[in-house]
This record gives sequence, structure tokens and C-alpha cells, in this order.
Amino acid sequence: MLILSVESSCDETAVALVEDGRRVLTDQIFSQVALHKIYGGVVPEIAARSHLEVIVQLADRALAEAGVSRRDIDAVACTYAPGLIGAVLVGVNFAKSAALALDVPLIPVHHIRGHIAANYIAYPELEPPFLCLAISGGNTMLVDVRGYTDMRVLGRTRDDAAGECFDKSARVMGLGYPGGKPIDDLSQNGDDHRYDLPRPYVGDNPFDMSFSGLKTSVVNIVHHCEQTGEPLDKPSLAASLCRAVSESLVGRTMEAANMLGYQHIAVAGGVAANSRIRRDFQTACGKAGKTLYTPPMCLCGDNGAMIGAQGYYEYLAGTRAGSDLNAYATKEL
Amino acid sequence: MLMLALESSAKAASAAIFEDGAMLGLSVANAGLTHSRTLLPMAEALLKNLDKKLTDLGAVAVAQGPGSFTGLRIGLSEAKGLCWALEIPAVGVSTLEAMAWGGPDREGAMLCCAMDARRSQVYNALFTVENGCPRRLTADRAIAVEELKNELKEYQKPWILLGDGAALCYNTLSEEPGLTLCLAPEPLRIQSARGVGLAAQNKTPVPPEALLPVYLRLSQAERERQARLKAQE
Amino acid sequence: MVYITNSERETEALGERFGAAAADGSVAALYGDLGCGKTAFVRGMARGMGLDVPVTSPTFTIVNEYIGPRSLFHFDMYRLSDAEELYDIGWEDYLSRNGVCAVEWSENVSGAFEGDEYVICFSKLSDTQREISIEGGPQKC
Repeated sequence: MLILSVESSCDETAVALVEDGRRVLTDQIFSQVALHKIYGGVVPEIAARSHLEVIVQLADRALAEAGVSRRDIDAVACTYAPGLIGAVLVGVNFAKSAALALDVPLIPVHHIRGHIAANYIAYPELEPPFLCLAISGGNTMLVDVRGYTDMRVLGRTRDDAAGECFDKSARVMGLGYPGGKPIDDLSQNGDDHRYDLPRPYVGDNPFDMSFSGLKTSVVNIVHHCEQTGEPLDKPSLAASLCRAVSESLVGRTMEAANMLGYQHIAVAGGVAANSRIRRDFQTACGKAGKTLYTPPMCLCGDNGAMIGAQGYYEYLAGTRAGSDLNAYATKEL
Repeated sequence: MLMLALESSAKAASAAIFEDGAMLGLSVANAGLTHSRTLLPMAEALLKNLDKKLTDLGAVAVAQGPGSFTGLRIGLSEAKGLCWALEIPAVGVSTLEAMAWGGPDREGAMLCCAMDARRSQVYNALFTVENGCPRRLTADRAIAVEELKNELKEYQKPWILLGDGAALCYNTLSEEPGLTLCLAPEPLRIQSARGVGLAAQNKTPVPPEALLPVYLRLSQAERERQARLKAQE
Repeated sequence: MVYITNSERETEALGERFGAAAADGSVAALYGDLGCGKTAFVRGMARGMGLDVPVTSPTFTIVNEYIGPRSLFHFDMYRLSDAEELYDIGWEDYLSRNGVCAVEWSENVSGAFEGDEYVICFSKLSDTQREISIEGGPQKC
């Protein structure tokens, strides 16, 4: 079954073609690089979130790259929530019109479910149930994936996303944006016990997380050094930060895995690229005899393929939408 | 040639079907629901009631702006989705021009199309009716009602006001000496897919990827000028 | 009015009082650096507006919507560079939804506001102490 999938929930616009939920024929994600291919030569100034401007071109390129025609499309899936409403609306309305005109079913997909489904593309043998830590873009969520369309959020951040903590810490330390990689690189030469950073536990839910206090601590440390003239040991601050974030994430995930008896743990999202977090997960899973799944980076950001993957399983579960499908800024998983 | 026309730039959403330039049907929804829930279902129902199929369509016409950021995106995305899937071209028309086409058609009538753009401004264009069709006198622009007043006076003719900004203009300017204003009759005052379809008849269709929104913002320089004027008050 | 808060909890409480009193259809422009308590303040606002929902940082999503008997639209301009970008995410449509728009990192989009917004400035007096000033707001006729 071939699904045309559309993603436009925030910064990215993507159109993909996915077969039977696992085989990705193409994933056309709009980017500045792709701009050159579409326009050739002089590139017009197109901002991020130019969903309306590029969606047709991406759909055309998807068909061309995959070598299929419109008649081959069996269903259209699209992200309908959550996200930036002006962005989600473009994908939703393009997708539902295309579905109507092609006379095929329309499948609404929750964006976070999509991120979890990225694991199915990276690991064809992975099936629910498993535990998934989704740490991408603005999300930090620990999810009990009981079935393809049966999920329960065990814990989430109460304030800042983990990735955001890295980005903002990097900024106050004078590193680039996004901050994940510079912090990771810098941390390699640092002492991760040099700075004492908080690891808050949230009162009423032990699986909830909080990273805003961590960010504020980093800001305070940097400012202190600026004010007192004390030298700031940046590599060690970076290393201490990575250790603190990792302990929060890995700690809770392993606790949940033990509590629920999960054998399989998936960690999806850009923050999973952090070497400390990766290493700690590998160690913890190895010790506990659990299998760790970490999809490649191209599947960790917003993309169309993950929507096609989840779309397939939503289709099997009977999830459908009509021509009155709306977009929502917020929606529970 | 069968054409679907869509209008979603303001509070009401509407869809219309045209065949060789004549309107077969029109549907309007004005219940405060988001156009994402009403526009495509209206198009679908219209086609069914008129015994036509989506695959019979030769083009989709749509209002490109100015107007509501969200509303326009819904109409444009739907037009793009339909055109892409059906492999037919699109026709983009100015919201204000479509408004004029849907308005009074008395020969020589002076039409002032206005949409409320906040801060005492309107999205505006001026037209005159010639040989039964609106002829443009100005480009689409965002303009302060005060500035519009002076322009309207220059023509020394009575003006018919259209759009959701008509009431704002009327209330602000009706007492102005040297200016005769009246509101267009209510059924003809607000833009609709009927006007979009009529306006689209003599426009060149384009491939759907070329269809772009026209939001019409005040430029930064203009905003700063306005801020300075306000500070002087 | 200038307020001093000594903890995140106090900042939230101040936000709660403000949220309860803020007029529907208004804009609250928040100014202040990283870690000054802007999100904590907005969290309080939500509570004060009768919204029992989790309020998280909208840095990545740009806008979070909290809908209830009253509506709170929580913006974060951290990733945006100017007022044009604010428009491009549907700012004007939000203004007409009769909720309260709370905007973090308003520094990045100056020029977008119309002069009738609440201006809320945060500054750090120490690691835990904050000074928060609240001025402006829609003029009552």
C-alpha cells in the first residue's frame, strides 16, 4: 500500500511516499539545499516555514524521484496536530484536497506519533510494545508504546525541552546555534563533575522532567564568572551539562523500562545524537540486558516519511478523516 | 469549461461552480467556523448537487489576498491540492477585484472595496464599472482611512462601499464635506466565490506551484512614519 | 508598577494575579534575558485565567495555544528575527481571537506592537531574585 504523506507542523515542509509503513520510496524535505534544485541558479529569498510556496513542488518531486504516478497512490496521510497552526493548516488542506481529488482515503496523523514511527523505518523488525523517549525539536516525552495506535505518555518536560536547554546554554556560553553539537564537541575535553548542576524531580509524576532550572544554573554560572572575573571552564561546563541532561533522561527511561518490564527501548530525536546520552543509554541497556534503538539523524528531525509510516498503521486501525479535517495547535497523544 | 471558485479571505467562506463563465451554483458558510471545516465540504456538496465530478474540473480559481492570513492559506492550500491531484491549472485573483466583480454593476458606478486591516487602515482598491465590468483605478494597497478620504474626494463622484471595511469607512467619512458615500446593498457587499469566478474568467491560468498568497502588509518604513505621526498627536 | 520576586513560585504568583486582571484581546509583551522567569510568569498567567493546562516553553513551536473559558496565546520570538516573521505566523489572526497574547522575547519583534500592549520587563537582581515591571495596557475610555 502506497501512502503519500505530508508534514508541515512547524519549520519544515515535507512530502514522502512510503510503502506498507516501512519502505520509504522518497522523502522530499524542503531545505535551502533543495531550493537550488527547484529553482536552479539564483535562489530567491525563501524563509523557513514557506510551506505554501513549496508544497506543490515537493509533491511533484516526490512522484518523480519515486518513479510513481498519482494513480499509484492508495491513501494520503498528513500531520494534523500539534504544531504552529498556520503551518499545519497548509499540509492539512493540501492533503485533504489531494485525497478528495484522487478519490483515496485521508489519514490524519499526530506529529509525535510520527516521531515514534520513525523507529519503524529505521528498524524493520521493531514492533510495539516498546518504550520510546522522544527528544526532538520542542518535544521531550517518554511514551509507553503499547500498540501502533495505542500510546500513553508516561512523562514529559514541565518547562523547557532537553534540546532547548542545550541551545540556550550554548548561546549564553557564546557557542553557535543550534547548540547541541558545539556543546557535545566541547564536552569531550571537560570534567563532568566540575560544576554542580541540579537534577530536579517533579513532585507529582516521577517520570516528568524539568530542564529550565538547569538552563538557569548554566546562565548563573556564566554570569558569575563574568562578574567576578573567575575563568569559566567551558569544556567542563559543557561536560557537566551533558551529564546532568543525560542522567535525567536515561535515569527516567530505564526506571520506566524496569517498572513496565520493557525489553525494547527506542530513543528518537535530535538530542539522541549527543554522545554522552548515547553512551549512557548503551551502557544502561547493556547492563540491563535491554535492546536499544536509535534511528539515524535524517529520521530524527521533522520529515515526511515518519508520517507515512504512522499513517499506514493508522489506516490499518481505521483512522480516517473527511474533507472537513481541521488542524490543531495542541492535541494529546 | 468547468471551474471551481473558492473564497476564504474573510469571515465567510464560499465556493462556486462556473461553466463557461456562467455560475451554476454558490455555497456560503458564515457561522464563525474555521474555513478548514467548511470550504472543501461545500465544494464537494456543490459538485454533487450539480451532478458534476471533481474530475470534470478544468481549473480552480481562488482569492489570493489581501485578507486573513489563516483564511487565505486554507483556500490556497486547497486550490493547490486539487490542482496538483487533478493536474489542472489554477487562477489566482485579488480579493478586492473579486469583490468588485461581485458588486453592483450599474454603468459608471464608482466602487471602493475595503477590508478592515486594523489600526484604522483598510486593504483597498478602487474600481469603476465600464461596459458592465469593473475596471481598476488603483492597485491593491493597505492605506489609512484618512489618506483614502483624500483620494476619494479627488474623483468628485459618489462612491459605493464594499467589503467588511465598508462600515468603517462609512462611519469615519460619511460627514466629510465633498464626499458622497453609500454602502453597497447587503447581498452584494461582501466578497464571495461568485466574484472570484467572474474575475477569473479573463485571467491567465497558472500551474498550482505558481499560486502565491498576497498579504499586503504595511511596509516597515510606513509603520515607522505612522508611529511618528501618532507620537506628534 | 515594579515588583520583586524571590523565587520561581513568586514569579508565577505574580503572573497569576496579572493573568486574572489582564483584559481579553490584549497583548502582554515580555522583555528580559534567558532565565529571568518569563515562562514562569506566563505559567502563572494561565492559572490566573482559569486554564488548568501545562504551560511549556514555546521556543521551538513559536506559539502555544491554551484554550479554555479564556484563551491564552503564548508566543516565543527567540527564534524569530523581526516583525515580518511575526506576521508570517498569523499574528494578526491571533489578535482578533479575543484571547490574551503573551509574547516572550518581544525585543526581537519591536515594531509589531500597536502601543496599547502591557510592557513587562524582567531583570535579574541575583541568582534567585527578579525585578519585574508592569506598565501599559489597553487604555480605558
